Amino acid sequence: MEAIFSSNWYRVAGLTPRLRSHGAIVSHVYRGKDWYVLQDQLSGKYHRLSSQAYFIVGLMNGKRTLDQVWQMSCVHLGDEMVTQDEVIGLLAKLHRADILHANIPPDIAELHFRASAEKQNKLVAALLSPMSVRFPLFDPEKLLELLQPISRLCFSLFGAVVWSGTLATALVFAGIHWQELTSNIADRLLASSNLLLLWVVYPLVKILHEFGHGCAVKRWQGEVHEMGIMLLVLMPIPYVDASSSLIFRSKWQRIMVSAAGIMVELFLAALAIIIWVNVEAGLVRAIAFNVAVIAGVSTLLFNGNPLLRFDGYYILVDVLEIPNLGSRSNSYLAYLANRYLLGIRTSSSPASTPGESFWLGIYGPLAFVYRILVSIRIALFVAVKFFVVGVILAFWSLFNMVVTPAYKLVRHLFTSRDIAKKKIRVMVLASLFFSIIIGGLGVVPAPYFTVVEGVIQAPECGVVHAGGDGFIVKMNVEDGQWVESGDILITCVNQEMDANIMEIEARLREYQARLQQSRVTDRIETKILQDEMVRIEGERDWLINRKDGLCVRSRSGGFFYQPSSVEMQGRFVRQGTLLGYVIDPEKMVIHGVISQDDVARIRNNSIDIMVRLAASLDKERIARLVLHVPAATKDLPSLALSLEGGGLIPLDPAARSRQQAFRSLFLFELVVPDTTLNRLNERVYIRFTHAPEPVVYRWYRNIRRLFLSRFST
Amino acid sequence: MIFSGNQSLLFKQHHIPPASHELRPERDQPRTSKLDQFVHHVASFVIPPVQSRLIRRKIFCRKVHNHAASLQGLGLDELRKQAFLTGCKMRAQGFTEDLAARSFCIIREVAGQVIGLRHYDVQLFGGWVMLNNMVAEMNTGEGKTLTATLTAATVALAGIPVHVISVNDYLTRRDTGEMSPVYHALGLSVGCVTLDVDYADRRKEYLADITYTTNNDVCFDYLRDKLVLRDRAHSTQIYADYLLGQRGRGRELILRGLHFAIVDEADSVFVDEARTPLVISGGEGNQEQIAFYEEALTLGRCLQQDEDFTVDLAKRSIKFTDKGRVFIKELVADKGVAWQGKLRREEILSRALSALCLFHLDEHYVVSDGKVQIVDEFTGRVMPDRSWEQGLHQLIEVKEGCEMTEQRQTLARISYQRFFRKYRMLAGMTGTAREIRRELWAIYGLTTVTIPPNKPICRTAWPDYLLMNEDEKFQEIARQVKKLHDEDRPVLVGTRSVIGSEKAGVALSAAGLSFQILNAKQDQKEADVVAMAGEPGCITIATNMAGRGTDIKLDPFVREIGGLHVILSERHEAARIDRQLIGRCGRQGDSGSFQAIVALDDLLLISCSKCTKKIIALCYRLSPWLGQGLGLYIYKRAQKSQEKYHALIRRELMKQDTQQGDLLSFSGKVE
Repeated sequence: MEAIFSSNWYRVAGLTPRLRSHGAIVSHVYRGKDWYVLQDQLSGKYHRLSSQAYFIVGLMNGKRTLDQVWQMSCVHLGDEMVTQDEVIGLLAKLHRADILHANIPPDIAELHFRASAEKQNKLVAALLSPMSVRFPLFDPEKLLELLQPISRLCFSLFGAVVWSGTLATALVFAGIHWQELTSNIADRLLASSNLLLLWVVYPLVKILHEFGHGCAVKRWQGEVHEMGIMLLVLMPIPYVDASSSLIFRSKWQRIMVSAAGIMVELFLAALAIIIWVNVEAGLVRAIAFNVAVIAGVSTLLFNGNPLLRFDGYYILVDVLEIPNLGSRSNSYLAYLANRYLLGIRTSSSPASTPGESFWLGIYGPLAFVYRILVSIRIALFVAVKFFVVGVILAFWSLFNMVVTPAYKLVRHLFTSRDIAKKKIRVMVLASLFFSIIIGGLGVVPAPYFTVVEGVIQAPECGVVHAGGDGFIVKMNVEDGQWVESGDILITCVNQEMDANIMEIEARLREYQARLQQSRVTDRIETKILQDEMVRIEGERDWLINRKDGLCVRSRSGGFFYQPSSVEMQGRFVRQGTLLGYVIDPEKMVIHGVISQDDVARIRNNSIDIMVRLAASLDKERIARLVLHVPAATKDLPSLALSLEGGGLIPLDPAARSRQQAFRSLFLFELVVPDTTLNRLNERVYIRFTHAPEPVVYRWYRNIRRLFLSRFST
Repeated sequence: MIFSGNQSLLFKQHHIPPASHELRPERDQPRTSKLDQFVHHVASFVIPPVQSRLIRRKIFCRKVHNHAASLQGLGLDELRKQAFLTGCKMRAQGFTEDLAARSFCIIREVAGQVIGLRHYDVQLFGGWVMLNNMVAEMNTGEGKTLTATLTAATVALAGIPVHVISVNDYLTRRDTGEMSPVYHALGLSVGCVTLDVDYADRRKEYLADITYTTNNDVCFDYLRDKLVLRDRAHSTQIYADYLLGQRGRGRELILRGLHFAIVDEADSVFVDEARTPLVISGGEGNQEQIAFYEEALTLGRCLQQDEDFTVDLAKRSIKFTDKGRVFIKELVADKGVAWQGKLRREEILSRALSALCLFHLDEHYVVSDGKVQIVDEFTGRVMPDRSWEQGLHQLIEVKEGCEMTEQRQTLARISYQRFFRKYRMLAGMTGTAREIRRELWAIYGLTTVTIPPNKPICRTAWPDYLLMNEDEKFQEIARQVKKLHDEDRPVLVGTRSVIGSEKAGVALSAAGLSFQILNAKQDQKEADVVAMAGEPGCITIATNMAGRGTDIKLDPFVREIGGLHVILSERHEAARIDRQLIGRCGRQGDSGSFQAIVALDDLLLISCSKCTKKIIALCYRLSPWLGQGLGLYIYKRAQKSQEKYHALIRRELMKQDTQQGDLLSFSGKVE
């Protein structure tokens, strides 16, 4: 129950207040309700008044005492009467805005205190959000006054026709040249030669954007008195203070002012595309491309996004007719929490209509989540370049967005009088909340797995190599023919080897003759010759063996495939040359690679392994680990795993061999029982399932690894 | 909040502006930023402990003793001369340890010669603590009145006007009477301001070096001055007027600034009473209003409890149901304009219903001489000057059929919190302060120092009893009293409210015991009755605070058989106030005992859920021992949580007060 009477009324009842002459009031309609915006023409500040407040302000003429004013308002407003405390609040607000004049001398000490407090607040605000600091530079009012004819021309029917015509043309062009325009956009944009251009073009586009706002304000007789530079994520971006548009009566005019920047940029983007299509490659075309990208993409994603406090937000606010959407959304959420979680029913909803409550309920959480995501992205982006700065930034944003509100919430829970009565409920809710958080992250084991890529390859025994150097004389089997283990696949000849064998056999015969001769005469000589013969026999056997190798046999059963369709017959092959594969689809293996980060986990803690083939992703198959190479290597089993081949592993550009990975890897071999794998070198996604583990440990390990790897180098 | 002066580290004294009606020095409240408040909060962990270390009890007492030799055998005239000389030195050098010791020694000599009471060492220490602007926590019966003379006389000798502030007229007059001879012997003048002193005389009384007064009086006098000063009450404006030679107003003012205050019962003044603001109101009532209130009460009687509105006893508030709202609208359809605003009519009706359902005769107020007078819930005393605000008082007058006083407009108001912070130097003494140590620091910047008792305490705690309902409780109390009465031991039964004391009386009469009741209705005789409470076989029933400040002197025979026994019939919302009652027995090393006999339906357990109570009752049936244990534990918990809740409310009020002050800065008036 609100009290109508205030115990402090006696202190103000006798005042005869009135507004100072520099306060001007216009009426606005928000969601069918009348509101009044009070403009202080000296300071350029704005205050929104409800119709009741407006009524009271209207009664203040410098002759009536506040008590009379209040009594009169009670009679007139009936059910909607305001309490004395509300009147005091209103007067305090007007006083703080320095637009209240009363029959007492001003309190200099208070004025001074307020001024210095305001200064301090500004500093604190800058410290709290180092991601957006403003530096006002100059007053563009006169410049915009000069540009007035242009603004008139632009924001007119003629302007609208030109604008939409240009945009339509550009859209058609863009549609036609879509492929060309969008291929490899990131590379082109961030190529080092382009960066300089970007640095020049970006501020120019943004300045035009801001002038768009400024001209729009001027178009409807507003005033712009501040223009400057804002450091957004340490990046200088121009801004104008267009707050005088708040006083525009039509919401479409206000929307126009907010949208002007985006419209300017879209127009620039459209012009740029038209130029880009019509000129030859060169500097002009590069500039046009940059303008198109900056003005088209970044604007729509950044300025047009209503979840960030940029142009899009203000457009949304005016479209929905919910002023202060962001902050009111937060207080609405607080109200909901109070009412439904804590059961405190004394507070009243900040939403005045059901439609409003929908928007208020939905905007806050969305904006919060989005802002956290953006901050994380920004922090990561910075961290790539300056690790320490990025980490500090991440912690700072985390602190501002999560820790500070959480601290405030907790303090509120402990100090609020309403809540003191609901202690048990708060405790139950808080313990529930924390047990869910702590339990969910730190106690309840969550499924845990690692996914890596691999390729299907033949097992070692299915690879057919040349057994020795020689010419292929005969292909004993057809490509794709079934062979059994031991079947001869390819016959090669090496005539040099044949000659060698004949030579050795001749030498052997020579020794035999000499042996027979010496056996009678010299016993010592006999012994020497015998030993020599043993050696030569060994040499002969080895050669014969190699000759046998020229006749390549299959080491396993399967279909014989040649690696290439080139005619083999008559070709000279060296020993070890790949001649083909004998593939038994039942016995194919998968070769996978794991980074060093994951190897310990996969080796020590894998419960089961599932694979999905690239050609049939829907089917999951159980696999078994058969071989784990215990040494790190940089040799990739297949180029299919490399980034260039569509995989995940970056190649080492400096390496001599093409199949060298940038970082050391571990190889392993899997078999998939009961499955036919008949596509050689097909990509496979392998999932190692580990013992379930609470999420916190994983985070801890990852963060620790991140820091260790960053700070050890 | 205040970050200068009061808690300035020891021995350093500030420039002291002259006491004059024209300049009217007082401390301005500086505006504080959040950082200031934070630092003040952090300082609470540093400064008070350091300060209480820096006060060197033994060294100081030895210094006082050292001076004794040089004063041995001096006559009163010679002592007065010495006192004057020391005072002169203090004016030049401030209250240094040496000078204060000399001054204390002289005062002790004088007191010994004039009224036959020489200060004990602990009292010297207490005086020294207060001279350093701190709160001295001294057990009841340790002689706080005598202790105050040391500080008061020393400060007065240095030429600074002193206000010695206690809680009621009786104590003020008694203390003035008892201590005046000492001051006079030192060459100091003494004033006494109580309710019955005329405004014309007040100015004269305040002109004395030392003025004994009550918190109520001095605060109202301050407000009256404020009304004289009107819009030019800020010190800067006063100085400006002084420089411009506009000095006429000084003659109309009562006080000549707020310099040094010694506040007796500091906890109740600084904390308990600090919540209610003091208000001066003036004329302007009208007949319309009377008719309006009568109508409100009639309408209020038409509404059904629980159907049209609900009563929240714990929060002491009325809430209308939706049905009630509709009904009210129908009721007032044919009434005048005054009833047509929804907020307004519901507000006035909720007040009317509060008057009917929440405020009860003899509990919250009494009717005497056809007037409604508020009974302070904490002290059980009648507050003749006070009235409820915003029509509630008038509604209750209509309810009781008294002649309606005119509702008057607030002209000036101030809370004790604000008022006492305006003193340039502040000291306090009390029996119980350690529970509110933090608060005293936070609000007044006062450090609390516990003064050890002169003789060790030999007071025994008897086991507490918990009973299922009030009737059983009073029967048990009667049984216990009878048992002790048969041993001829005096018993004091403390109750929380006037009604409670009457119920206890009924129970004791039923047991055939004769007793005396002290409650808010019998203000005058209180002291005599309390003084008698130590006689053998004497039974006294008293509201918690009745006769506070009066010593219960024990008969030698009683001392031998175990002293006074105190029964707490109900625990108070603050354990501190229970301790005050317990402090009635076992004073000055006397023997004594106490126990609490409480019931499940006591007011303290009102916020306790019914379920909890049922569990306790069940446990009690299963095993009385278990039920007792559990129940008493929960009772203690309830008291703790109440204490915390009240502290929270006070903190919030303080915050609101500051915020309101900021908010109202446009009004140009300072509170």
